[in-house]
Amino acid sequence: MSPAWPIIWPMLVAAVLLAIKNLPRLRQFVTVVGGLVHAGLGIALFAEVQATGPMTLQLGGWKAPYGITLSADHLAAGFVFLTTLIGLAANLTSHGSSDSRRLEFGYQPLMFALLAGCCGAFLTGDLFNLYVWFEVILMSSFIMLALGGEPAKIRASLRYVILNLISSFIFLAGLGLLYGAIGTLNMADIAVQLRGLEPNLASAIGLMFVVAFLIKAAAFPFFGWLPGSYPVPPTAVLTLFGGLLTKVGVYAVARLLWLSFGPRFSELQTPILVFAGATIIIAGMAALVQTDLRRLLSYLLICHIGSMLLGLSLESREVVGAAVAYTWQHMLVMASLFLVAGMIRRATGTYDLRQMGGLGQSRPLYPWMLAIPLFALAGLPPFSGFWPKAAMVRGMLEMDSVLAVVLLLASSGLTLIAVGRLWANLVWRPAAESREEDAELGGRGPRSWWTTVPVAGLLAVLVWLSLWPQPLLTWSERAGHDLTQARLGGARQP
Amino acid sequence: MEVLLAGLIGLLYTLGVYMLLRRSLVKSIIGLALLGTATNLLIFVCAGLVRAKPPIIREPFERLPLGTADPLAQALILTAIVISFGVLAFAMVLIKRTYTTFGTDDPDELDKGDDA
Repeated sequence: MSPAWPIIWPMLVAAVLLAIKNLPRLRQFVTVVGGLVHAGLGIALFAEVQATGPMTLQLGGWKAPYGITLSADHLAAGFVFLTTLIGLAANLTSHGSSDSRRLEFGYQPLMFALLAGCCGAFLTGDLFNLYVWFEVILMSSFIMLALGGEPAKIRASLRYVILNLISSFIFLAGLGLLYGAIGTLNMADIAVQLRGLEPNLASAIGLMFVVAFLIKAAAFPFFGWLPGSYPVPPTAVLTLFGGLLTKVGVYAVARLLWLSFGPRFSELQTPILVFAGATIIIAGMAALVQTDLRRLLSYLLICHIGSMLLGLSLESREVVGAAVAYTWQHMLVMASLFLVAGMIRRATGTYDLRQMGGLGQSRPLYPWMLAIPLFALAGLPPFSGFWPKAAMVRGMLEMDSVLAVVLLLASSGLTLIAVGRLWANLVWRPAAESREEDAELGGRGPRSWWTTVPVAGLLAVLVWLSLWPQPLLTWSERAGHDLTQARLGGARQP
Repeated sequence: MEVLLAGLIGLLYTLGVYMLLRRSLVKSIIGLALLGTATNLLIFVCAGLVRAKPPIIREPFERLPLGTADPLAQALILTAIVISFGVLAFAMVLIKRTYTTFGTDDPDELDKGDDA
């Protein structure tokens, strides 16, 4: 099992899908099979890394640090596994909506290209290669966002495109400066060579990277593009975006901080912590006044990105491990929430919170489906969000960083208020007088299996994580160890 | 020479940011193109300006002789140019589509119909 498979396979499937553009039934078959195999590859990679330890692959046979390394350590393998899982969920959901125009224009190959880019970004050990995979992700997401051409999509796409392109150029500028300064772009080698560089220059270059990645991760003060563009695309697309794209940015920040710019850790840590804290407060408060379901979820997503950045930047192995667990379960929670949001839209005909109501009467199962990820999001016990947060708080208290604990609990508190408001509007408010049900897509016919199976699957995983969180915590502890090993030392774990 | 190029890169970045802040999407694209050019020049300058031969190993040598240019920097710039060419092409089509959909390329006009 080579680390390259989760990257190569979706690219192959995308190529095949482009070739069979005019055969819809075959395309659907290839898409589903491709997604299932990709998930299998993700599981296989993860299982092998857990069993035998981190794997590396030198692309083209060129020796490190001259060639590009693909390194699947515990952290990367976990992220790849979740990427393939969420990709499968979005994949299956997309068959439930009969948007033939979108399919005609190549939505399915783009989805696989996006997944290939995400897996590549998680697995790569070379900073310029990371830039290339970021661009693959970006390009696929640009097109997926704009497909269809409706006015709202054009508007959303513009915001998304311009801000992410600026982030790319900042990243590239940092790469140029870094290469000129130390002559290498291999992530591990940078840490070695950086010691010989003048400290202020190294910090400045590191900060350029931090800014570029924070734009991608939608942290304060760069998160404006996310609420402006995420509420627009269809459910399957939004599931991919919400579950994956920002987490790639968070992963990049973590790798930068702990691995490549380890020698300049404290200089980079301070702005990241400040921005993370500001993100939590500002996005959390913004979430309290939203009336659109998807915009509300977008702001909650940003608020928790802040929590993740906070946890991943503190200098404690325990906190980082718990933050990784938090990030992983958050990816699943966010994906399932956006999927359920799509189902709610079909049931109530709207995303506007003020016009949804009485969902408990018309669809008794929906509040249950909504409750699991919502309460996991807020970090309530015994749901899956509670365990990593509790571990993070414990680690932070051991570090005596009370401010971090306050911020983390503030994010939980703000989320809880927002979730409670959502719940009140959805379930407790009586049904509105006139409400169109989307008759074509809201029925209980066989077509709805495509949307219920992925949701049920993700929710089952969340329930399992809630009741039996130990595997998640063990895996994330190993991942945290791998992430912090360059700086905090310690023997490599099997 | 580096000073001259550094000044040029700074000028290009300035112009790029200026154009991005203008009230027209077409000018934003020009701004992004200028930023891209400036960044590519930055990589070029940072990798070192030398009078050197092309990095090709000729028979019967087996390694690059001294005095050849750095091939990695050239590869970085080429990749960057190709990628920004692709995304800018997409952005241009998007702007064209914006104009046909909304009849304007003023971002403030576009935001009027939205409650974000």
